[in-house]
Amino acid sequence: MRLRAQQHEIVAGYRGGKLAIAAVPGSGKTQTLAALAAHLLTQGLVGPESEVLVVTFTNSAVENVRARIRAMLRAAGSDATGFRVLTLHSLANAIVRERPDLAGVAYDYRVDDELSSEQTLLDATEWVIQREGARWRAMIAESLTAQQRAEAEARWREDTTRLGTEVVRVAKNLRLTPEAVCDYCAGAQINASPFLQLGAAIYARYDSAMRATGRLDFDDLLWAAVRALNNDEDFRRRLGQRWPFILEDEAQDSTPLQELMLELLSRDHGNWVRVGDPNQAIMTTFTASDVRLFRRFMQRPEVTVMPLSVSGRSAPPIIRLANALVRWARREHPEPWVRGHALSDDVLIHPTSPDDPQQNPAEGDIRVRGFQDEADEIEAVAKGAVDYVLRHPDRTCAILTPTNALGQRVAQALQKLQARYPDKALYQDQLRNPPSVRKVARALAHALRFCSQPTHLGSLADVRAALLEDAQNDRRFRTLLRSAQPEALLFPAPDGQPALPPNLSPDAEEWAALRAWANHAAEWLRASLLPVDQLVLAIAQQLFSADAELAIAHSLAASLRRYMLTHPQAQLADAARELSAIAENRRRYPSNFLADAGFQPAPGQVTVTTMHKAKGLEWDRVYLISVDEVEFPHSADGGFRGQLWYLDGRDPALEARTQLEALAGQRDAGGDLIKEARLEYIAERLRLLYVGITRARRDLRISFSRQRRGQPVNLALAVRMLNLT
Amino acid sequence: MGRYYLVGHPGTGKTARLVQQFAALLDAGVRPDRILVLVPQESGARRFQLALGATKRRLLPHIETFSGLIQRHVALFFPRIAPRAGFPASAREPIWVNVELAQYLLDQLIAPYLDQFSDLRMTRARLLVQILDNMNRAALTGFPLEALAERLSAAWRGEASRRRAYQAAQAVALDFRRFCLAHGLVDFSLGVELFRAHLLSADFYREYVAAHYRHVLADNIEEGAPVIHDFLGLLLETAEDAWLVEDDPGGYRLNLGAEPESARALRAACDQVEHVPDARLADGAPPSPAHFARALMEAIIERRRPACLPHPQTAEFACPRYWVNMVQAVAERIAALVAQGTPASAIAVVAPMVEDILQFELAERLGAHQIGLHTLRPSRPLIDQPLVRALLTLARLARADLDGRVTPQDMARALAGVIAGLDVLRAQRLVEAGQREGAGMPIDPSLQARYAALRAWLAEAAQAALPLDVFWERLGAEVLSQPGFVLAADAEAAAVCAKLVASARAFRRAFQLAGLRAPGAHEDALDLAYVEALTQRLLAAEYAPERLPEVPAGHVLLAPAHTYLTGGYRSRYQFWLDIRSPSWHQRFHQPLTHPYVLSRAGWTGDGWTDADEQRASRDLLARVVGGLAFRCDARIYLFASALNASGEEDDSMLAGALERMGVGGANANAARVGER
Repeated sequence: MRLRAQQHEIVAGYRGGKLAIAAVPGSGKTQTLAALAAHLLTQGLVGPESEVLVVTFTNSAVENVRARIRAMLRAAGSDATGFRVLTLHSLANAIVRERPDLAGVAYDYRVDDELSSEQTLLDATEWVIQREGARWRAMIAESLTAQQRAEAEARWREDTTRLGTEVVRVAKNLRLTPEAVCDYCAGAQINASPFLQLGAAIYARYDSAMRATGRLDFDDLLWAAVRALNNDEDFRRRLGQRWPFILEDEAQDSTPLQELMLELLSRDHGNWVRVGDPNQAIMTTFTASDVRLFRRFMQRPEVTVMPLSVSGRSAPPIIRLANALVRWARREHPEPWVRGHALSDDVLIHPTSPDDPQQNPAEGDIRVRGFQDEADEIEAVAKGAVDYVLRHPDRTCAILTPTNALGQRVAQALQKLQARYPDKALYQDQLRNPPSVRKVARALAHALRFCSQPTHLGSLADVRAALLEDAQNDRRFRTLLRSAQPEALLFPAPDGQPALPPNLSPDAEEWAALRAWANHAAEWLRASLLPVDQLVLAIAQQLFSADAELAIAHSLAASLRRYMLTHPQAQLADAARELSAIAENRRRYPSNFLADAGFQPAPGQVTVTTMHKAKGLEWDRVYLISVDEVEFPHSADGGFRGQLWYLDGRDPALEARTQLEALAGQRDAGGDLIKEARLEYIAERLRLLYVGITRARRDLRISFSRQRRGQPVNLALAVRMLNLT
Repeated sequence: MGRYYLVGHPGTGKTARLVQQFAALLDAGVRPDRILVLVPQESGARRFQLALGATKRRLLPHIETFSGLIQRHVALFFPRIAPRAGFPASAREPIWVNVELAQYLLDQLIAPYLDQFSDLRMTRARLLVQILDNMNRAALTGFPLEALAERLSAAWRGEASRRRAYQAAQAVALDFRRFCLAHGLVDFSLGVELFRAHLLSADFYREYVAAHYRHVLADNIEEGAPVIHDFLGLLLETAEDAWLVEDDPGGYRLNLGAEPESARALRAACDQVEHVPDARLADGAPPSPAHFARALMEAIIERRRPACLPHPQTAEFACPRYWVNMVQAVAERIAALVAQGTPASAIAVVAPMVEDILQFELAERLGAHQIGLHTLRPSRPLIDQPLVRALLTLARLARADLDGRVTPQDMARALAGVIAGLDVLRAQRLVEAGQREGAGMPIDPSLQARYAALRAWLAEAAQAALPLDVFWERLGAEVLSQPGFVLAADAEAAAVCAKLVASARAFRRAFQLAGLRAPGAHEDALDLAYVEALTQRLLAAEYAPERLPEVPAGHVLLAPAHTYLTGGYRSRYQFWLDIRSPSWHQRFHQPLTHPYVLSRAGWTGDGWTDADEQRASRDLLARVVGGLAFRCDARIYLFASALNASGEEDDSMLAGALERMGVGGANANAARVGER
């Protein structure tokens, strides 16, 4: 494996200390980290009882990084040992698990995945809405028509959950208990906004539910790890000795608790390497991540900053556009605050040198188009994308939308086009739960359904169908099952051979397959006396062998355990329904990026997803749609057009967040918090646009429609100013 | 005659010598009822009972367990000590409170203090368990409840809120103690406290002991708490002769206050201390797991490559990638051993924790080879056992006043759980057939007959409105122990049923005796309160059982390492699972209690540091694995998986020590295991 000059400089030059690597999209961040880990080990800088700790953001990255380091070490003739690759959460879990007493939990503490804690949060939100009733309704803008009000209330319900989620996250990251937040709200120090008060009530309800059942959500887990490290200096020191080097990926998305945890771990040795792209920090919407953290880290006097600016991903026009966007935002953005905070021009993208094995695509082009309305835009874009993949079956293509809802309308349009090409898969809908998750959930749901109604062998065929794409044999399998007598097939008497009608007599292979499934099914039935989460694990051990699938099954089992705890009367059939909701996209399985679920774009197919989820991926052609002033606003004053039309453009989650930060002394409490919230939103949306642009390898198509909810709307200012039209 | 102290490895014949001594005393014509044999738990008493032989004796020696003796003596002298201990004059005999009832009562008392625990995240049941644990430790170690918070606080070096929680936990404990005293209730901790504070130091008791116990034989004294050692100290002064035996390594009953250090202090009071040599480690002895034990303990404690590596054939290591493959490999290895002629019951599988899924997967895979699995999980909550859930379903059918609907699926599972040979599928058919006669169903008529018998019995019981414990006891005796039902063939199931009956009965009896009322309801609500406590896992009793069953022939033993060690088992082959799990070296950490800080000798009072914790972990791990290996005769199979059952990588002190011995390093595909 050859490293580029910049990568080499980093890897060969690093001996210790704090290092920030500012990287651009496609510059080989992970490769560099892996090479650095391998180098530290082969240079003998890590003692025999210590390990290089590599921290990644997502589960899928763990195996990837592990494999790369292993390969590099083997290539260097070393043992493939001496390092540990963990996600931030598994690192926190490892710390808490070692000394739960220091963290304030018992040895049998349970960590909820987001799926489980999300349900608890929904319950808490609903409870607070019921209790607040009229006050909650009164927050909706007065100027709406009756019909709009009905729609607004439904939206407000969803956004209240979002508000609650945000307050819970941010408060925990500021290490504020519900009591502390409520004290702040009641105190005279500041006039707490009604949004923050609402969020605080949800936090209190949510937290007491979690506490009573001894559960920790992901932020609790991080907080617990930080507490454990703070509560015993010797413990912290020992872990520092175990991990004398800490290498962190995706540092721009760090949350305060995550940063603090790594800060504490590296306090004694100070060997902390953080790789990140500040321009791709788009996680504020989903986590308590704070773009300011990595920037501040880069500015610390003791931190060395090194660039990773060479990228072979995109064609020159795309690179020029991305860099132009950065420059414009830095120098000319109408909001002075945004100039300093949205995008950083410390590191601009440079194409690879002529001798580099990864050459940028030579050609590509960018076009911008306006449409009459959204329907026109969607239709034209869907058609254009389909034409492209039909013409270039070897190339990849994506339509990226700012919101999930819009993406679904695009998917519907693609579905219509698909009808004309029955033999071809034209698109991949990647808006909802990742296919791998749906597959696992579907198979397990059918298996549970079978356990609940074992006389219906059809569920067994459904399990098989969920796992195997085998339509032809499926019909035959179902026929065989239908004709079988369930007892005789699953639990044959010791002497009896299960018989099938003579006209169906299966051949040896079919017979063996049938027996194998029957044996599986019999084992599940025996296991069905176990608690449901253990039953799911037992089923999963038989059905899946891939790491990723097992991991998904585990997280589903954990969420079922919580479900059964809170619904003691629930039956297997209810548990099966819970899983079906995920399989059928009626409930969201939390995963922030496609890349996290192991997704790879397929050539000849159009991927539909959001700009957020597209992070970490690339396509030959990318369509960015609805790039208008509402989705990408540029002014915090009267002209601000956020998404929340029914709240006069205010964003409760963002407002509550800024106010909470002000209360905790992280911000100037005297500032105009509504305006600050808007500026942050403007900055984050600019980074989102940057991420969208840099997904394209060759071609980029940007579009918008001139009308939105009956109001005229303009192309996003950033695109207008770049003179592309 | 004199005072002897024997110490040595497990398996060096110390107990045999104690039994010999016992027989010699009897042969010599000593009055049998002047002999006291003291053992940690009932399974340790067997060999002494066998030595008594078949001859009928008019007088019998006293063979007692540690806690049995305490309870018996407290009951015996209760009228004499009760007033001084603070019981009302009306309390003539103790009303014993088992751990289930203690948790239930505590749960009623804790409400006013809950705010104080808001920095801790745990279930209510977990909170209660810790408070009880603290009370037990105070009594077993010998300090007042009022000192609990101070001791814990002195060891704590972190945030201040924890100290408030210690205070609150102590306040709840004191409330509970007052409640017990006022109602004549005696829980485990109060029983021990009465023994320690009101008997051990009393002159009348000293005279009683001196008169009754002239000859003392005590086995496994390292498993006793300091209060037992105080008692032994008294016996050393008053008895004619005494033989004390210490297993080293030992001290596994950590949650019952076991303190080997305080046992060792008794050596000073003995005339002779004998270190029993281990013949397996003598020069020229053939390779054995004892060599492995010695080396592994050294690798753990000294954190270095042992000076003397064991012969490779004493232990074998394997590490497949997936957990399920590990279980499969274990089953295959066991099947091969059995095929070569090893009796299944000479094989034991131990893991730091035995979860349902391990038991299930291993049972399934061994079942394919016609090998049975005998699982011991004494500290598991009752409701987590399928048979208990089945019995609860049947109770709900007969007792409409217990809340909870019974669906056909519940019913089918209950039937499959109690009727031998009935699978869930056929059970479902039976339930679906319901009132219809089962004619024409493809189900064995004998199964149908059993179902009918059960239904008839339940219908009758529904008329009788029996209290729960009586209901279960009669169901067990009149139906489920008949041929073709679960209790007839399955000793494990019978033990579970007996445990449920005992738990429900103790709950009801104590309520009635103490004149308590279930909150806000008439007396019938008592069963409802019990079911509620059962299903909320309040009754997650964590105590070592007095009795551990023998492993039936044709069955492999599966047990948590601690249970194996305290049960006094011994095997030709041992399989150690999940080698990389940190649970091998981690004690059950809980934020409100602390086995070392709340001990007599373990801690000096200067802040419990991480180094202390590390030392204690290493020490405990070395004792556990050493104890296991010294109890293995032929070979140890070490199994790990690269990914644990949750699909994650683990690392452990044990794996690190094994690597230092050159075992397992080649298979470790991820990382060297750091010293912890």
